[in-house]
Amino acid sequence: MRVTQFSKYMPYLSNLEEIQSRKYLNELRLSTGKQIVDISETPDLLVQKKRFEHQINLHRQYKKNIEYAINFVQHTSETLETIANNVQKIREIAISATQIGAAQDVSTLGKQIRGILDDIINNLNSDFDGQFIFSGNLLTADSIPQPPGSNNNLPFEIIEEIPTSDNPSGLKIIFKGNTKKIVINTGKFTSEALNTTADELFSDTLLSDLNKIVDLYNLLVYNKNGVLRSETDLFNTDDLSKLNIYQKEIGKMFDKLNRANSRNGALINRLEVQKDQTNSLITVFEGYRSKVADADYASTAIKLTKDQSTLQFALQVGARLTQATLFDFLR
Amino acid sequence: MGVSPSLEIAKRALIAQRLGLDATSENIANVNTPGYSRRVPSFTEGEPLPSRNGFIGNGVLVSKLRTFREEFFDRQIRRSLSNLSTLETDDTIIRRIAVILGEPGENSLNSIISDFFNSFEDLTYKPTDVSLRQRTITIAQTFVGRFKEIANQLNETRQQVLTDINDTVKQANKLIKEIADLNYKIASVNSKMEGENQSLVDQRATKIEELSKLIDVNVTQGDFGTVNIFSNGINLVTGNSYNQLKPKETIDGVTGERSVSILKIDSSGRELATINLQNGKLHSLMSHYNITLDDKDSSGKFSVAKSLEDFFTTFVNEINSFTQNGYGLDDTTAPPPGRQFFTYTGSLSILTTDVNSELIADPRKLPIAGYPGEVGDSSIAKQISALATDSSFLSNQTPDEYITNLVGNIGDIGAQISSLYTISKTANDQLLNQRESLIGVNLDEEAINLVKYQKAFEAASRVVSATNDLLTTLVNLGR
Repeated sequence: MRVTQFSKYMPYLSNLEEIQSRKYLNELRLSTGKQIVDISETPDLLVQKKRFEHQINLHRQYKKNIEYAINFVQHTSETLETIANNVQKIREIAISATQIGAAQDVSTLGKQIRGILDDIINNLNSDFDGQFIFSGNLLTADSIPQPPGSNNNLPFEIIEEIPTSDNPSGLKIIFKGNTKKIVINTGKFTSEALNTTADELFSDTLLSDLNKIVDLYNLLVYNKNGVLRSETDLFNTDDLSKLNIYQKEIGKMFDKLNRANSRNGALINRLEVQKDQTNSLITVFEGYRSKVADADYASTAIKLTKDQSTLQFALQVGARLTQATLFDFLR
Repeated sequence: MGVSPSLEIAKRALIAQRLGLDATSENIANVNTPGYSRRVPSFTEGEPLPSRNGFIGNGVLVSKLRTFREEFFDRQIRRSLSNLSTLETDDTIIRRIAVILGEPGENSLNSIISDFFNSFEDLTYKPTDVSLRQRTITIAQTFVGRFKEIANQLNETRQQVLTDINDTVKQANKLIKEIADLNYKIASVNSKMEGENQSLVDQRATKIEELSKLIDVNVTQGDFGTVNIFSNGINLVTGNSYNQLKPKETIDGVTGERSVSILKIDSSGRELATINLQNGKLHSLMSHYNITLDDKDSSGKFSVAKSLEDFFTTFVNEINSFTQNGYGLDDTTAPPPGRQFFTYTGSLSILTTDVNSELIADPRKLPIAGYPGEVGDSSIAKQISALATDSSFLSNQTPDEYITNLVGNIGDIGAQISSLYTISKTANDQLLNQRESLIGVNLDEEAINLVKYQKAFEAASRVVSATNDLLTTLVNLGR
């Protein structure tokens, strides 16, 4: 083949351009730590990377949901434990009331119960991160309706109605929330209800069992005529029988609260497991993404060294291209 | 036989070797001229004259200046250049689109879409948190802003492509005219003298190659060394007469789709025919203007702008269909207020859409509850976040899959262009090399030719000098 001046330079320039472009891409990989630096180079890897990133983002969000759920349920569980302890205290007071002879002491016990009842209501109205935990999906004070006789926008309230013979104190515990569940996604196909609803804690939303505490209070503080007990107003047989019934009802409520709380315990365990699984999935997806998207430093560095040597030799060849022709020797 | 024939022979030799020297110096001078075809004088012996001792030669004659240009290589190179030019233009535009989409990078559309859905997922467990609601709206504004930015940049690119189409047509028209002018000059020389003016032929070949980068051309030989130029069967140059090209933009009355076509026009600007280009820079620019960058494209082929527009409008319609049935924090009675998450002026498109200003002003109005007064209900937020994994969102893909595949398609096209470019470039380099080995200049060769012609010229000069001495001797004999 006849070699001309043009045929010496043209392929050389073409090759030089290719070597420099290859070297540039490898330098870019090393400096950024990313394997995919050009959309056209490995589109299949880019798509894979994006799919893994989507999965990572999705699962990070599920993890966030789960972490919130764990905190929420833990807070609910602790609150329920306090409520159950208070209910137990009331039950104990009821038992001790049967053993007390003096009416004055009975009345004092009644006042104690009233104080504990306030604590229970406070606990039932507690919130997590600004949202009520036992009011169904009516999470804020703004959303809690205020029926006649109610003085606040809290889900649970002790109101005072007109005293009757059955309820000489007129006290009544009312619930203004609902029993709807707050459900969150814990995975692509899994979800969990976070909240414990009022009907899970008490027999119904009218709180007939919780109002038994009011009945107990009435029994301890008022005599059979609905008048505040005097020092001489001792328990009669009927009172003792009622006391026994209330004590049993409160005992049932205590059991129900504990059962509800044990469900929360199980839920926390389940959420912890899901969190671990989600974490593992994130780690796996991150590993896959790293495999396709992150630069392999060792092999890239070797490739770069190779490109540098190739470029060096190519430049040496380039220097020779401009060497002497026959004209240099013709004198 | 006398002495004077020797002088005549020497004169012819001097002329021939001078011509050889001239051709050599021309070759050396044009060693780096693109498209230059080296010239070599063809020497033939002069017709012999009869003498008493038989026929004796009559010196040297230059029959012609030989060149080595071959139509086969020229044709192949034109095709290859046309191909390369298409691929180069495609590559430039695809890379520009990738930059506009932020690919491959961290701030891709995928991450913004993911943020959008995750913000609704956050609201499912804390629907009453106004700061989270505010965050969702801010993310939605970023989402719309990013789509608008992309749509605007794609539109700008499309306008730039239209300017390029106009410029390319101007360049093509200039080349067409120059080729016709060169045809005229070549024909004039051809009809008056024997042989072609090789410089003009080389110039014309270079112009035709330039033209083939812009449009696909076919060349046929005409009379008196002229060539005829066709593009996809449409005649553009015949001898010294030629037609010009004109880009014409049409707007579909129904869809508003704008498309450009290339027309052949006569000197008065009358439209004669539509040229259906298949290759070259102009073809590439037109296909990107009419398809890739056209957000109203109806060809059914892959259009980046149309795909993004389809995605966005589907997205907006889906989200609005959910929020229209939802209730805000203060909506306590049915029916739902019918609040749209995204609002638009006129017809729905990326550029006409914004996040509902009512929601921006008051995030409490964000309708994510399914029932009035139930602030903790987030069923609408859940429906929206579930859209992230809904594989029936668009073209049987989830939103993320749709965007990922869109980017993947762009990457695939880029990879295909890259691979075809490498193949075409190699083929083109080989063809250029093969042609160069025929028509190109080798300086060593020219150095030898220089010495060869110089020595021959010196020898012929010596013949003149010797003949002169001989004649002087003969003249002195008579004294």
